[in-house]
Amino acid sequence: MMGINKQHKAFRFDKIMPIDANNIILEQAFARFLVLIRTKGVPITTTNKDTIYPRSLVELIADDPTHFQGMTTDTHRKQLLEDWLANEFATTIKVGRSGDGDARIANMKPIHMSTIKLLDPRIRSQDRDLSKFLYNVFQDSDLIMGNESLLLPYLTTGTADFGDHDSKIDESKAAELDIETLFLLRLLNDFKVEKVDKKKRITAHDFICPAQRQLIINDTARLLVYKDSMPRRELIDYLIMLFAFHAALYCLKSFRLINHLADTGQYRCRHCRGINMGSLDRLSECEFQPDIFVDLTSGQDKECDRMAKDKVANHHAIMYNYFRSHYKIKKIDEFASRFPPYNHSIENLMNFTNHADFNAYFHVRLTDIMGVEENEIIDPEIKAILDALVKSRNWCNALK
Amino acid sequence: MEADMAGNHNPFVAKFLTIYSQSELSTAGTRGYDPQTYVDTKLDLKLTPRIYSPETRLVVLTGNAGDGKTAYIQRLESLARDQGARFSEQTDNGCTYKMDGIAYQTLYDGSQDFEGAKNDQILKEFFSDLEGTAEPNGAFTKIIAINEGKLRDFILNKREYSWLGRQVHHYFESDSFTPHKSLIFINLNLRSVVSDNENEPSIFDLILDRFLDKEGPMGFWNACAPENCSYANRCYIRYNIETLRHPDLGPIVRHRLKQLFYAVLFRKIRHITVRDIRSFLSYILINKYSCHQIQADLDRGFSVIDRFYYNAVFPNDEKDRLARTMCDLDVSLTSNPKLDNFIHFHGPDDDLCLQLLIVGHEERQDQAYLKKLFESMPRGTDDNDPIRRDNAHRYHRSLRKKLFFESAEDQMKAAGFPIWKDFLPYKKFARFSQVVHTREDQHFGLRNNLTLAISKSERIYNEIIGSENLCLRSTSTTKANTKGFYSFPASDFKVIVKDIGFQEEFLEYTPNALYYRYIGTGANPKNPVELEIPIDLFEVLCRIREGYIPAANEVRTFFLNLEMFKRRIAAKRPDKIYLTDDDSSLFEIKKDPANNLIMTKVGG
Repeated sequence: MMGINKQHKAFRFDKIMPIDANNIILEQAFARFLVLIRTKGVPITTTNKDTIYPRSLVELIADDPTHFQGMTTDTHRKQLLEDWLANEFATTIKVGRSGDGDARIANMKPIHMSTIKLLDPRIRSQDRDLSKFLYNVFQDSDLIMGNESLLLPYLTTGTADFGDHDSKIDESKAAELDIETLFLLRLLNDFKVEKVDKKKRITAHDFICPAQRQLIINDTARLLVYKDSMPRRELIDYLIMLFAFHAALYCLKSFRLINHLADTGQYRCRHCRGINMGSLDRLSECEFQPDIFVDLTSGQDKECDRMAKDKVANHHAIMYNYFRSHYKIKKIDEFASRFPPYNHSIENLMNFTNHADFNAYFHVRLTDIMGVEENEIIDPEIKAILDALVKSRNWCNALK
Repeated sequence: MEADMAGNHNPFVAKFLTIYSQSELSTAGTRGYDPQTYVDTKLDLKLTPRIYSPETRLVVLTGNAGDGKTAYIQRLESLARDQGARFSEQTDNGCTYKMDGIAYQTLYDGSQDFEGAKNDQILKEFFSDLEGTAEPNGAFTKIIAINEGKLRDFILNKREYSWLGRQVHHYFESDSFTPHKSLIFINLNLRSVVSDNENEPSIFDLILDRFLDKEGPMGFWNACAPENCSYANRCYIRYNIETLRHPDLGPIVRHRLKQLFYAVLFRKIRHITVRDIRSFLSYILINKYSCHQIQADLDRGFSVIDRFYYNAVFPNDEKDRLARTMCDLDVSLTSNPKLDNFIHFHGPDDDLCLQLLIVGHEERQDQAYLKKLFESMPRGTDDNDPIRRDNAHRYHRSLRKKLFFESAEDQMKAAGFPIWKDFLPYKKFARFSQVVHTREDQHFGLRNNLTLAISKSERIYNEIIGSENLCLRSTSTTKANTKGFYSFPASDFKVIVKDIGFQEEFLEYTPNALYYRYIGTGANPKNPVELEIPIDLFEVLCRIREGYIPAANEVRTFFLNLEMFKRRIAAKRPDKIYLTDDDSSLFEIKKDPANNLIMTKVGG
């Protein structure tokens, strides 16, 4: 698993694109989202716990013969339990670079709030800030956060709050619990949630398209209507799927908005400002609305096949433009940061394109990059750009 | 018409051709009231007297196109006319008449505009006497055929129809609601063309009887007698009609044909309307050619084997709705190796073959065609001539179909062959049919079998645990070494067959599906969690119970309802979980009264 390198860091600009453009493991993102829900936006970054393996949990069960009876009386039962825990309750990763070591628990399947107790922050997350994005989407709505919300009481069912972020099984409600939840809560009861990292509290995000954010909240509310009519694991799967879909849609829409911002300096579209929960259908009028053509014939209908491929090509073209637009805006931000009291807001940022020093600053930066010292080994990508520039200059001179 | 019957021509053939939906002549016979072929159903016997009862103010007929709404209303008008009713207005969309001091108004289609008048305006005028907050008064009765959706849209949530609106709402929303005595709602979509009530004939039987004109009051088939038609001994119409009119063979063929219509009904993928059954029966008996065309074909030696009823029941190239569905049930496509082998080596006039058929049938029009096909089959396994190979297929298929309808059960059994029921593509047809007709799952036998089948579809193979508990996999992971199953006691479920409440008084009805319903803790009778089981799903569940493992694409498409049902059940709170890593030794985890978790090995 690769960390973020220098090039990634140079590209990241979460003011306009809050999610890192990289592979995301959705379950990890959701597990971390639960942490943020519980801690009201403060992540967990360290742990004092030893590394936990499924067999460690079996040992805990063996140590509690009152609550768990007959589960570890022979090796067959122990093995059965260990496999069951590994398969159905935990997400594990193999220890060691070759991946042939023991499987340690990265996090428990996020089917209950108590599962955050075993989230291991030492294991590098492939969350890519999706959990922060989701937290910012929902933090002002009463849909997911808060004891009166739809989701939080569902996620904390059968437990009572304990300390700042911890919880314990509520014995008065244990009889109402299904067998699987009871097993999980008994298993996690003696664990504690790790201390939160207050320095890394999630900052509020100014959404480039507030109406799209409203749509995410609205669709989630529609799904949560069915929370008592479907299995717990199923609901969590659907939520994860819904969040992934909407995160992708948000990105697709942002690509167009960011291109527009870079090209015209105009921030946000004129339609989305007035859109609220009651008028979400007006989103279809938005000129930046992403459109996807899905070929449900799986290529059997030539016309559908062509239209779907054309649409993908179109999205790729927009995405290609987006990389340039994003980088341009990032560089403007870099320039603007030299002029206090610049506040990093998008509105503020775009004013700097007319700044008197704007062209001179980038001219100097470009000269620095192009200047090559003797014996310097040049990054191949930069060399390719420089070669292209030289060729282009020669060609222009020849024309003259 | 008597004069026309002379000279190899039956004028009624042309009439029957117009009843077929894909007729090349005309489809005029598919719509409205036809006095010659209309049959009196329960609507006529039970609803008509209610309509003429003075307390009735409004009769609403809903249903699909072709369900017979207009025909029934026109029949009602015709009877009124015969009884001396005074008609004041008559249009193509209804009429008004007065009888015994009561004003009657009919509307054939309340869902369409008519002669420039907008639909809503027509309905407003029609329902004007039913406005208000109380039951209507006055000497009137209104009869309307209307689309259910249109009725909802027009009546519900309108202040002027507050009383009627309540009645309509309750009728739509509550299965057990019986409307006010002045109102009658009939949904013809619930009517079944095949039914087996001893006290009433089915619509299928009524229409077939009328078409066959067995006693001859309509004289439909007099012209087809050998003395009136020189083609009678070669004509398939004569064969088809006389087979079904035959005193011994006729009832047997009819019964087997009826089972095929039951199978269509039980598939629950197509509602069979009266128009559908009239159309298809017309096609089966008469096919789609005039006397002139038939004679021309016979004269030039063209093979008409596909037009004999037993082949026509499963037509490959017809676009008729019912015909296409029937092709899925083609009895020549199932396999019975011993019989198939016999057919290949025995001609239609072979004594062994003739012995399999019910005796006494004198019509032999199909023999020449079957014999020709048999004699033109490939000569040995090296003969790859495509025409001869096709002849072999056609002979084989034709004879299988003929045996399905005309074989004697005793003779087939004596020869060691499967009987007609074994030709059906559904091996569990009889069991399904039996529960539907008795409307009862005696001693929960079927409930337990279905429980085991659903459990097995989740890959739990312990028959005792699987039938005593509905077991559902806790995750969809297939790679896991250990399988976990949520467990719900079988006693939390029951198999039910639904009825249609008060409407059964007016409609011939056969339930078309079984329902496996959750009745345990938290069950909501108004919105039950239940699995609808039409015959296809029933068949596969029975096979799963016997060990069949469905392919992934079957699960994706065919079992969509089953998958949704399992999810709804899994949302209930299971009290037990079974774990296994080898399918043979199962461990049960459950809680004790103190909410501690206990694991025990099943069976000690």
